[in-house]
Amino acid sequence: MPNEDFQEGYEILRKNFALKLKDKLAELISAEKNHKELYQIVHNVSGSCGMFGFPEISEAAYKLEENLKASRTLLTDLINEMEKEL
Amino acid sequence: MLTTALKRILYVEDETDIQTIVKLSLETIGNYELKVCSSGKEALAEAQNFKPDLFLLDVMMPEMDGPATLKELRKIPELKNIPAVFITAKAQVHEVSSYKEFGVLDIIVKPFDPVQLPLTLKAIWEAKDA
Repeated sequence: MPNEDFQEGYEILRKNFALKLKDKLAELISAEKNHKELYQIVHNVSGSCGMFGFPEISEAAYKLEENLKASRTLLTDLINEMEKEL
Repeated sequence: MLTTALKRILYVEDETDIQTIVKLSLETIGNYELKVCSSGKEALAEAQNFKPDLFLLDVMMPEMDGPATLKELRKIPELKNIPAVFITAKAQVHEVSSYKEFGVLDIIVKPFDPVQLPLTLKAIWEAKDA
């Protein structure tokens, strides 16, 4: 039964992959902290540059800030999903 | 109704560059007496002694943000009726309606022109009793 053989092999591979995925989850949780730090820096640049007469830098930082904010939500969603599944 | 003049402002901001320019503006242009605090915790320690007319609070601060700071300040009986203004980044503007639930007079969006800030605060202050 090639199909059953495949299914059996697939389940073993899937279990091994899930174990590796737990390591990836730990890496993502660690990266999430860095992401928060990055967001904080960009947020500071955006606010302060606008008040000290560097509007172009402020605007560029604001665009990145918005992007990081969206990606932070997506990153949290991904981590939650992985925690649920693993 | 006659509005009492705004004199003393307790300003809470964690970013030192913004602290500096706001202090310069409010003291030199606005002639306000300013107490600058770098965190919500510091504001809670200083507020009762300083006896402010107004709280000016940055929204996004580490540990205790502006809304959390105001909530704690309002638990102090002598401070519970002190009006507050939030300062928020452009990126947080869509959260303005939730800030208004805290009963703040108004919300100032960063970046703003520091030269205009004293006039903006004066207008907000005078509008509260209008």
